Amino acid sequence: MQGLIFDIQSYAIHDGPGIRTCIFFKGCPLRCAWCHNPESQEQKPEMAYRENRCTRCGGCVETCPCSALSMNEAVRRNARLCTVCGQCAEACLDDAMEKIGYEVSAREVARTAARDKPFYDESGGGATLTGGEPTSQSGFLFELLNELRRRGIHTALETCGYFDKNLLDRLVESVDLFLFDIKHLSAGKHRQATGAENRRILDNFLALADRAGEQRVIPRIPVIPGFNSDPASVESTAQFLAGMKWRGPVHLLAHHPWAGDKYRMLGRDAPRVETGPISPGQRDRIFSIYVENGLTPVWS
Amino acid sequence: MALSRIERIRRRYQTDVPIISIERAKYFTRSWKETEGLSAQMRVALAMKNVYEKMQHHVDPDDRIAGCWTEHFFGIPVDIERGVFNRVLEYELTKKSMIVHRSRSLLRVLRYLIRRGDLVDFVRNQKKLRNDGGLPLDMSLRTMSEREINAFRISGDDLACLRKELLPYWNGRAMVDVLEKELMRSGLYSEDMHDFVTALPGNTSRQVIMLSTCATISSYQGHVILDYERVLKRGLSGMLEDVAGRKARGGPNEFLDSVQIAIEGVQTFARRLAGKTGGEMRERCQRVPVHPAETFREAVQSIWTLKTAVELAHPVNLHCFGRLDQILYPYFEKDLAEGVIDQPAALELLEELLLKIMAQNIRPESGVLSNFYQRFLGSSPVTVGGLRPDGRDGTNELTHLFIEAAHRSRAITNMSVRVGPRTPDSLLAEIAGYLGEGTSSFSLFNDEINIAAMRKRGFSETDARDYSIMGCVEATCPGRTGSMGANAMLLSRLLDMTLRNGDSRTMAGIIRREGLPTGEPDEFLSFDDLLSALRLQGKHFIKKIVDASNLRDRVMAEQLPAPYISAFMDGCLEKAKDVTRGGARYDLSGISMINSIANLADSLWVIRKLVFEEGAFSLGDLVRAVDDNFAGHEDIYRKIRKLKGKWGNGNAECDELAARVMRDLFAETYKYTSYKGGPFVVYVISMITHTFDGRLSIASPDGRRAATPFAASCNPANVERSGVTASLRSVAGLPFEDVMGCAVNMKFHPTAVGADSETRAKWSSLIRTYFKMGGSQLQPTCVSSETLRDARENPERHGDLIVKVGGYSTYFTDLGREIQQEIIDRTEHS
Repeated sequence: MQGLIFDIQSYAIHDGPGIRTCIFFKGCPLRCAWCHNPESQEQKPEMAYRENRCTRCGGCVETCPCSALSMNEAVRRNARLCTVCGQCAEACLDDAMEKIGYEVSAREVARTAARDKPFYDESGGGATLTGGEPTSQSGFLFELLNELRRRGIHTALETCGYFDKNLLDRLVESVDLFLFDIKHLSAGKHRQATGAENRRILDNFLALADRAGEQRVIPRIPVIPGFNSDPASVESTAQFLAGMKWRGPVHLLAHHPWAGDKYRMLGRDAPRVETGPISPGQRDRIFSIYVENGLTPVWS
Repeated sequence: MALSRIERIRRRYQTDVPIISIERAKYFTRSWKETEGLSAQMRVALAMKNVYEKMQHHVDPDDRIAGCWTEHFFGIPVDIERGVFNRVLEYELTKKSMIVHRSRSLLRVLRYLIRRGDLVDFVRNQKKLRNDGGLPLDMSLRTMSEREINAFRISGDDLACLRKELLPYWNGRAMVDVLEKELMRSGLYSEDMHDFVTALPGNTSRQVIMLSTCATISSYQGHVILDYERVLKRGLSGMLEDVAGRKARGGPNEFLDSVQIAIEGVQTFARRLAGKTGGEMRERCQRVPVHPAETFREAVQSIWTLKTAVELAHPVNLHCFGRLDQILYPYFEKDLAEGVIDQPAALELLEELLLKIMAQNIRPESGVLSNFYQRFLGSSPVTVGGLRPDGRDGTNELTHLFIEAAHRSRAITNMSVRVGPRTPDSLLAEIAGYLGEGTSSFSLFNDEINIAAMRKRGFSETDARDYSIMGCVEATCPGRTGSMGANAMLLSRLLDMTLRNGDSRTMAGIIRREGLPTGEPDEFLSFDDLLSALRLQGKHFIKKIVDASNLRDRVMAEQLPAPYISAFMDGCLEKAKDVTRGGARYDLSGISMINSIANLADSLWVIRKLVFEEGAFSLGDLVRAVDDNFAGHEDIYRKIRKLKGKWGNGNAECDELAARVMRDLFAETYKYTSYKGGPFVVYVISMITHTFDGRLSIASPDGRRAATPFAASCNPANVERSGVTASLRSVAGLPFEDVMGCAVNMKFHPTAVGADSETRAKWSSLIRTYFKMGGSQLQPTCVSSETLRDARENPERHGDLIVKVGGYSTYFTDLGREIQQEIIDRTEHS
């Protein structure tokens, strides 16, 4: 079965134990305002153009079969004419024009990941399926998990948690480790910032925690200034986990610098959000709120 | 804030301009003149004895280890009798001689180009080069003291003596002069190449002699680790007894006489040095190296005095120290137990030692190389860690102290760390931590592969386990292996000749019939035909290099025997034979396969896939595109650039192709025995030649543009997004059991190495896996590209920034702009 992914990265060292290979699925049900991987959101191939790399050679304009490209001071793409065939990217020698997202079979992805098996074995690593949202392509996801398992590769799934609860059984059965994002406990704020309800996410988390256990599930809290970094928001998330008597580690993810460039390269308007780095003082305060609730937070 | 003693020493080495000292050259020459009629063996011994008896010593208030190379804190002696740099000194010290030299060489080049009808082509190439933004060779009239990079100065009196007395005497007599004459006579040059070599402009240093556009030999003996352990244990006095004993067994023997003079000479050096010092240091210098060392401080002083004396006898010869954590450990352990020394004091001493090693690793190179060069070469490494001869892991407290000293001193002295299955994780984690903080002077060596490689080349099991790194990355058995003459084969040129029926094309025009006539490009019916032709060319040039290398070794043995190395080399006494004639227990001669595996493998991959499998264009078309630097051949260029799976991306098919081609060339090399009776072995290390030679080279079929660098050493050139693990898989696929030393540079972002204990552990696993897969060496540079760019623009803020170049590390801000750019452009793994 074919799936849509947009990247495979090796020597990933921040996405689960050991040395890992990250497989990025394309397509996500959420639209988080702070998303730093906007190219992962749409479940279809997209064209990206990095103006700073472009040498204005005009190779892409010449190549385009749809006459969708023109050259002024830089390359302009007419989205209505463009069929995202990717021929311009093929012609581009400077990695300025890129087609993001490609169809690939589960077996091929697993084969690619398996080449690094010696590195996983030495370090206790494996493959991490991320995105985007891997569960949005569930057929492909399960086939890939199966292919990886057949090759003796440890699997981790990074998920936003917004998936059909019918998938739960099979997920528990086929994934070794869940890295489960919890963004906000307030339904209103969650909807406003991500476009989706959090009820389903929290229910899935509870069900998964129940069945897979603390050894195999790691809750991950992306800490977004201006969204969930205030004491009240932190407190409510901590209480939610404390209420479950969560004993495993809770990963706190400091938000990456804002991805304005990536939105621009996709030709999209960047959502207006106020985010900045988290100060060391804030980090300490957030950390202690979790500790006060009897939890084991880890900044990563 | 007051600088610490160590910082002060480093600062002075970084900012002072080294002074050319002629004392050695003067006293050597005067003795040489007086000993006419004696054998070369005796003349060398007596000439250096004269130097040791008359030279002045400098002892600095900041010294805790005594012994400078010259009468200055930071000076360099002249190897006048060998003559490697005599022309640099003759031409590049004064404005007037620079003008004469430049005009003469310009005329010579013009005459050459006109005679061959290549002038128009040459001018067009140069123009194109400038349009592409390339830096021209530095043909300016700046003298040595006016240079921005690698400057030297000299006093007026010394200059006068050098130019009036010393250089004229050695002109024609110096070893390099004789070697050049013999090479010209030997028939090793093709007719065109002979013309070309005699017309070569600009470069006045003769470290490397060009035999062919694809083959060079170097002219120094170099690459040697003395038997320091013996000096520590026996002392010079004990060694003199050994010589006397050997003499008693034999009967009169001139070689043994020369060795006796040599040891006595070093004694004289030590005695006169001691006379300059005071206090505790004086007591130490009076005891060692004449007597066996008893304390850690004595041991360090002993080896340093010996090294400095011998480095003076053979300047710029890559004398290395070997496994200092092993040979110094007994003294450290004893002193520590007795409370004679503590860790901080030992650490400070090691920091000073590393800085001093660095200061004796500079070369008065020709200004033409400035854009590609730097001051400190770092190619005099200290080896730590790894198995002991008895098979146990040798990592000890001194191993850690050396690692820390490398980090704290920021010396440009490579720390070659041997890593085996039994190396503790803590050592790797410690290195990762320092790397993360930006200390890039560590090179990691795979114990298992390197020991296997040593065994394969005839070293005994215990000697193989005792291997040590000399020069940049070359493995040897310390104290028992004679000097190693380095030679090189330029792989991309080899392919170029194969594609031109034996002609060779460079930026300076075509040299006809330089290689073998193996057929016109479009006559190859299959890819395998092409590979066979390439193999024939390789065979031809390896033979040529071997012949030239042996000729050089013979010239050296006849002109300049080396009693001062022989005296401290295991085997020479027993055999009563000079090291230049194969007296050492083992001997190695080497061919370095450079410029480069990556460019050759990628070019072959392009040819196999696009020419022979897809038929996208013909081989003839490809050669024409290369000749035009791909201008007007955009379609071909695009297809080449877009071809996936080039070497370094973990593509098994291309990796196998690279391994196969290299295996053939390696096997060919191993067929030969050197003049000194040792094997010819393979290295993969490019020093600075990948940028310098890249500058003189036309485009290559892998899509590399004309006059741009080749890939350094064993680095992949065209890494896609497949990342560091894929690159390491590709590299590890080469047959390293047949390589005696290689450099694999990897640039990591600091956060990918040493950010926290978890990251450090993961990075250690990365290294261990790569070694398990068969990788031989890895030298990480750990600094972000942003920092490097900033350092290039604002050198004053980054004086301590250390990076890896070919097989060695150096201060980034000391580097020529061209090589800075090459390092910035290397793929960064984060």
